[in-house]
Amino acid sequence: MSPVTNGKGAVLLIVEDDREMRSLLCDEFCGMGYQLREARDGDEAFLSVLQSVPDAILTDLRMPAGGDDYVSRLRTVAPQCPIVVMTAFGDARLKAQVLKAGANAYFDKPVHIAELKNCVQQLLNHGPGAEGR
Amino acid sequence: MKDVDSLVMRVVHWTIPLLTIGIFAVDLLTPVGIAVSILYVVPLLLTVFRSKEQESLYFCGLATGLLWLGLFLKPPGSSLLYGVLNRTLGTLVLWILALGLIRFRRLQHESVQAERDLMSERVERAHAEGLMMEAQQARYYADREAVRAGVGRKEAEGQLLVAQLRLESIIESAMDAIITVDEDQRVVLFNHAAEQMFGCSTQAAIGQPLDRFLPTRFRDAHRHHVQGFGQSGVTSRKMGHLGTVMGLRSTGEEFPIEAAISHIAVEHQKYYTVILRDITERKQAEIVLKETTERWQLLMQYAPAALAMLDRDLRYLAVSQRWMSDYRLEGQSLIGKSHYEVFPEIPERWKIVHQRGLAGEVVRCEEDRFVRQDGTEQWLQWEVRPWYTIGGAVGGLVFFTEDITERKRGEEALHESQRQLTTLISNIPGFVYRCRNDRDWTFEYLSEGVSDLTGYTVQEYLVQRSISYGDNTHPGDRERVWQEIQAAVAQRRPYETTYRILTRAGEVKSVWERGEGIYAMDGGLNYLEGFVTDITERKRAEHLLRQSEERYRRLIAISPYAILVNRGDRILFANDQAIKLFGAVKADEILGRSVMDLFHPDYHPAIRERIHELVEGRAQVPMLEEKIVTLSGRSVDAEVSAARFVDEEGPAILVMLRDISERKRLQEQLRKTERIAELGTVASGMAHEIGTPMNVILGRAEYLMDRVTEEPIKKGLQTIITQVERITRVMNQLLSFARRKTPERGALDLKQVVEDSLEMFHERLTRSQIQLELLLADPCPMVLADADQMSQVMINLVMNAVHAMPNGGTLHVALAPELQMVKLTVADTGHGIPREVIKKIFDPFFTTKEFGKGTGLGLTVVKGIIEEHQGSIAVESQEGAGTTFTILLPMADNKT
Repeated sequence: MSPVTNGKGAVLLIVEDDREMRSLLCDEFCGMGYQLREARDGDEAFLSVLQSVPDAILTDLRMPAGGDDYVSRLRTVAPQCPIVVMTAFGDARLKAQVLKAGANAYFDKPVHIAELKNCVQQLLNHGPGAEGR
Repeated sequence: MKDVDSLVMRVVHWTIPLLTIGIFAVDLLTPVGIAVSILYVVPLLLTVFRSKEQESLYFCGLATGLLWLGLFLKPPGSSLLYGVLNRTLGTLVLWILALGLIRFRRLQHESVQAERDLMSERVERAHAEGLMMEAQQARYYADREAVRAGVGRKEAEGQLLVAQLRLESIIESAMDAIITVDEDQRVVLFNHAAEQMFGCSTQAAIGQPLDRFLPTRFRDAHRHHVQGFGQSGVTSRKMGHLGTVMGLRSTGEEFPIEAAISHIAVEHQKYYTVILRDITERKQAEIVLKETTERWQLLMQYAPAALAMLDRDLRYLAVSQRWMSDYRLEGQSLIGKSHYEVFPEIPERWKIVHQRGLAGEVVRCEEDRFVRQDGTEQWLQWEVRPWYTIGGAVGGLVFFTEDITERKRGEEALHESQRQLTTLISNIPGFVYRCRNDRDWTFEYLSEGVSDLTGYTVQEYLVQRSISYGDNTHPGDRERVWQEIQAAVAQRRPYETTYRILTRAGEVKSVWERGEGIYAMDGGLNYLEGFVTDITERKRAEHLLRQSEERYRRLIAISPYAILVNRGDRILFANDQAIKLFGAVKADEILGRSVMDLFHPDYHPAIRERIHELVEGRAQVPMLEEKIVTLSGRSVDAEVSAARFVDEEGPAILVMLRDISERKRLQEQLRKTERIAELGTVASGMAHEIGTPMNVILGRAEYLMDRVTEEPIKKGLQTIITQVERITRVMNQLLSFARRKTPERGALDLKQVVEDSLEMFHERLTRSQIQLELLLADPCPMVLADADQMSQVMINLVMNAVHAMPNGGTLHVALAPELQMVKLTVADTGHGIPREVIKKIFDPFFTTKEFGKGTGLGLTVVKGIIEEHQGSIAVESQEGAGTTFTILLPMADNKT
């Protein structure tokens, strides 16, 4: 996978069960030149990754077929793909689990979209290793 | 017969001398050996017929003379001695005979006197009448002889002589006075008895008028009466027919007489003969007899004994009133009725007794049962005694009986009561005694119980006297007992004392004694009587009871429960816990008060109901949470249970209370904690749900913000963003409280945490013009705490302080060891917390901060953390002057 700079043309898989939230994320990242793919739940996301591994995955955690083991499953099919997890009011324990399961970044909802953008951008620019706050 | 008698008299008159001369002659002629002289006995015996008794004596003297003269005159012979003996014997016989004759004649004379006895009155009267008849007959003969004198003088003279002799002897020997008067009522005959009766000699009486012997007032009547009698055809009137008339003695004394009168005409001359009898004595005897009879009847009738007199056929002659009442025969007439008819129930054995009585035996019985026909029972004491007629034959029976039924019953009752007393005395645990008032307490009576008590027998005390009760008394008590009893006796009151005795086995026993002095009529002390019983067991029981009481007293004293005893709505007892619970210093502050005063009025109805249940007999009521009111008026939660008990003063209620305010507080805290935990769970769940929508709002607002240029719209969008951030803060606070992890406690240098935290606020404090005052002990002991949580505590408190001082002030932070704790103080000089609010500051979601500045969870979290660390947090605040939070945290062990 080749590194993508400024997000242009990078494929971003957005996994979100909430339609409004998905719409918001699409609007925001679309405007930045990302190529977006969407999934509504864990299973769709998994299938989508199986079809073609995106450049980065931005995913919710609490959704059908979600949770921390969902992150582990994604990691098995996309070992190198940066995974950014956001979840509503998670706690330290959950964050630790998610990162341990293979996520590259973790965000508690509500999160400033700007922060998300920065994080995704950094991950795409510098490869895996960046962590959420 | 009379003729023969007079003939004998005349023959004797001359026979005695002839016989005497004849015997003397024969005596002379016969030899000495033949005792002819004894023949003098014959004439001696003949002297009996002589009228004078001395004649026998005279003759005996004469015969003795002749007897011994004959011996002298006779030629003396060889048998002279025999002759002397013979004549001596003869003389003796003669004199004995002579004396015997005299005695015989005297006895005869006395028996004649004796016949005047009152009891043989009838005989006497008959005799007198006989004499009268005889006299009349004699006079008749005499008269007839006199009339016939002319015809056959010789014969007549002979007969007359005999008649006169007989008459004279009769008249002289008659016991009644015989007076004959002529037609002029002059006395012509006045016998010896008349002499004695009127006290007038015959010489003086002859020729005197009869009037002289009559009281003057009877004289005329008498004269007419005599003349009337003389003219009547009746020749005699018997004794008594004339009634009683009065006589007059020469002494002037009047006396009652009975008279018989007869008249006879001799040669046309009328003679009246009266025979008079002095009946003074008889009259008196009659009165005596009457009185005796009356007295006897009175005695018989009113004798306080049951008496009955019956004849031989057992018919009643007389009964006493007592007889009638004893046998319930009142109203019946028994006289003449048969005993067996009156008492058909008489048993056969009594009939035999009656027969024995009639045979002359006196039979008595002390106690006999008599079952009456109606079935009732009578106990009798009786005696059956025969009574005798004058003739000496058994005339019948006299019954003396006494109804002893009552006595018998009394005796039985007494016997029963004595038996009961004996049983009682022998069964009492102890002994009764009578003793002398001496130092040995010498017993005079003692019940058997003494041997159980002292081991010595009654015999040893009373018979052998080998032991005294004084010796038994414990030497340590002897003098005291003596003094006590003497004091009681001196005051004449009963004594009661407790002392020890030594038994035969050497045992020491405690005894209780009660007794009193028994005093004589003169007031002196006779002896002491009383009762002694063993109280060793009681003493032991008392001791055990005291021990038990002590145990329970201690139990109550150390009981964690406050205990009250209530009787009749008054508190009688309160233990130390109760005194403390109600905030009293002394028990007196509680005792005597009503139980209601000590309980909160809200609970009064329930308490009344519970008391009522207990009084009605329920043993106890279950534990219930109530509120008491201390003496200072503070309400305290207490757990109350009560039980009923009854002692000699009646039912009472035992109340047990325990202060549960601390427990309540802990419960309340737990409840709050639980509520907060629940809240955390809810918040956590909610957070997941609202996280995404909030993110959408926030994201959209930011999205628009980047795309609009109009300031009013930008401002609106910024507001949306700020508000979402605020919600996010609240949610995070809430979640951090709800999700707080188990603290990882270790030795922590609190000073470092304080300094780090304050460092974070440095800029803020400066901006708010807040002076920082630090007073940190150096070195300060480590505390056992979690660093993150301590930091959270510090941040919260400093944040509050900063918010309290919007116009600046001083923040004072101090850290110092205190006992085994470390004290952290955070004080501000801010606006302070109002009094009504201060209690609520630790409650979740309570905030005084303006909308948007506080979550209402900061202090809740702080308190939760401190308490999790076994520490404490306190707040002091004065409105307008500032607030001080004081936290105490346990020190860490040196090792950790």
